[in-house]
Amino acid sequence: MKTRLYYIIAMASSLLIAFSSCQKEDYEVFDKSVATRTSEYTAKIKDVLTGAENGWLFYYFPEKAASSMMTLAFSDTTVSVSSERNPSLTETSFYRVTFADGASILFDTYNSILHADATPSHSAYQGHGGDFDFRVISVCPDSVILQGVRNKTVCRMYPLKETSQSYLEKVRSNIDEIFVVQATGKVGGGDVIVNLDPDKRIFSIGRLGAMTSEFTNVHYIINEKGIQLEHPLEYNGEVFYDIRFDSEKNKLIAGNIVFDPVVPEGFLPYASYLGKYTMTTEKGSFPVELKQKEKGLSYYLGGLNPNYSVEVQYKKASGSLEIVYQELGVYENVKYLMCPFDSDSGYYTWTAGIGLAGSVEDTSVDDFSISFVDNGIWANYNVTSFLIRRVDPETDKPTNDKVDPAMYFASGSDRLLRPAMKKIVE
Amino acid sequence: MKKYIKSLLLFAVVFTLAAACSEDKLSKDSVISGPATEKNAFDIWLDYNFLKPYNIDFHYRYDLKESNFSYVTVPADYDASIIYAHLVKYLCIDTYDEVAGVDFTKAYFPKMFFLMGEWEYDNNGNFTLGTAEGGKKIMLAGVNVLKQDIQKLSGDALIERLNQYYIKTVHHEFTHIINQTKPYPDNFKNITSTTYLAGKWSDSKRNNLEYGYITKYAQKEHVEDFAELLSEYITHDQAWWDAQLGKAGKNGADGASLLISKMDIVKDYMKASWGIDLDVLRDVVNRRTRDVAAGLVDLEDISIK
Repeated sequence: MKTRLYYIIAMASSLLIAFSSCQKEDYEVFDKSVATRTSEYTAKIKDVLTGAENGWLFYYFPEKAASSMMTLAFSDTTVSVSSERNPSLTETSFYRVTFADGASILFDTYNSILHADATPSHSAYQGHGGDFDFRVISVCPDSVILQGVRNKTVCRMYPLKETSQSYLEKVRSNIDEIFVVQATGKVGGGDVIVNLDPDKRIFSIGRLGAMTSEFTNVHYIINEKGIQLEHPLEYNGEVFYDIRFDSEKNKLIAGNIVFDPVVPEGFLPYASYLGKYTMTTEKGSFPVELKQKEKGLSYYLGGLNPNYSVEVQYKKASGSLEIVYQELGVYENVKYLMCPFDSDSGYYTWTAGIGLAGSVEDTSVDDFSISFVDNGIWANYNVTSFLIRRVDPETDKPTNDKVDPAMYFASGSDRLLRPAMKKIVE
Repeated sequence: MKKYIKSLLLFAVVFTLAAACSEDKLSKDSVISGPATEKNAFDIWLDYNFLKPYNIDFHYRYDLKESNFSYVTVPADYDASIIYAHLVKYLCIDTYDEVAGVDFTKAYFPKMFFLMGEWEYDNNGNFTLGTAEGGKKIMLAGVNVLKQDIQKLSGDALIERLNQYYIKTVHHEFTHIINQTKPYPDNFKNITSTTYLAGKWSDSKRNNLEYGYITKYAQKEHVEDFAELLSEYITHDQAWWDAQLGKAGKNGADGASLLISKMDIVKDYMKASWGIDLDVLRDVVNRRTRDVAAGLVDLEDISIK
């Protein structure tokens, strides 16, 4: 029995020896190690990024905000960024090329231009869908395609053929020139209408007379030639990508298709709103003035209080105004907010985007009147007015503590009840 | 026969043990190495002031894996990070060096700071100033707001702001870390055990002082209560503490006696567990914060001295 056991063990050992081997002929799929290939690839990306003489155009499409054209100039460690929003401003910060699941370009110190749409706040706790960590989809000297790690939006980079400022000035010029918000034409034999929302930079196209819910939407950006869609869009057998505006003929042209602009009812150009007004509230009337803040985008509403100006948004798509929740500033170390107020229910809020929409009924007269109504964002409540609230420094939330009279509106109180404005013709 | 089998078995065992791929050699190149990042002037300053003396990684460049993906966050501003690094060094590290000795700081101060540009915002209006993890890492948020505060504020207003949003956060989180290393006595938990509010702390309208809580956030749970009490105490002076007790005792409330009972335990714990006199620590923190507000500390200098 014992002999048989030894015999079995001996046979098993012999078989083990016979089949064990050193696999000396490893088949190498790659001729270099992972580390070498990774560092070579990231070095190649850096070479491409730093190799563009004038830097790069950056077609940037944040998920929840309007697109913006930027320029990026890379050194080995830093990136200098400018944007169509202010072509003369450049801000430099750090970046690095990383490699985890794949190669990424990470803009890893803050840049107020590049990170603007990614930045959260009290009123937009998830930011505006911007990315600053991008997976590299493809890279070559002619183009770099990136995808945001968080929001998955695809952005494109192309080498700049001129200086950043001169290019972005062309973009600014196109932004000012293309104020078409609606146009009609024929596509694939059918009558269609296109809407261009300049505030959100959304192009939508649909059958004339159709509900807007049936329209096809795509983000667009303004480049040196005109409008470019986020990606080619097929509609009625036609493909739309680049669309230009012929200002002499007042036509919107996409290849062989020509659209005729339409001016929406109640539309007033940005410049028409500038000037002096009488504001009327339930607490009395007083003079105010709309001055340019950011051309084509916003105004300062002066005259409410010498310690602050209220910001008024110009809605390009409708040629109308909007006043929403905002911070008024800090007085005596206390922060004050202007909160949208439902004066019928007594509730107020401090949520971004909620406020009053202002529109002109008769745009044919010079001394037009602007009436304000709820802008439709505050569910279940109706904004009629604004009130001022001071912020609790511990919770950073508005409180019902007494507002310093120095911060009162010109109405003599912390409330701006049911405002309306009438333009003064001088 | 048995003898041959035994010999064969012995040979097989020796051969198996001796069998080896003698030609296998380890590569000199690591397969997990990543792209190197060139050090800038601030990195070198950090090496000199944080890494070499204290083995602290002051991580100011954004890294997704260090952040909380539940929140939308952005990187810290480079210049603001320099300011924050100076504040942490002068107001926290140097403070503990002075009060508890450099060995204490080296042993217990967190080994990693991670900076983020904005606060971590919740959808209910609350936001997080910082967090402590595993006794080793402190995340500090709102770095980019610090830059604006330093530019706008001065004097007492700056001191109050620095304490409330930044430096108190470091002391608060460091308190969690030392608590995780040596727990505080259970009787602290019992003093106001029935009135903690958990997640409802920010919605509460009650007067926190009258209930024996130094801040609204202290009402959340005993762990935060302890850290708030300690960090608020050392970032204010005696007059402030007396004023809080005065408010806490108003309208016949027993908030003052509750606060004093809890503060006694905090002080005893710090003395018995760590040999730190909290009043001495408070004096040093206050003195150093006044130095910063008076402009005696160059918060932008990253030259190596």
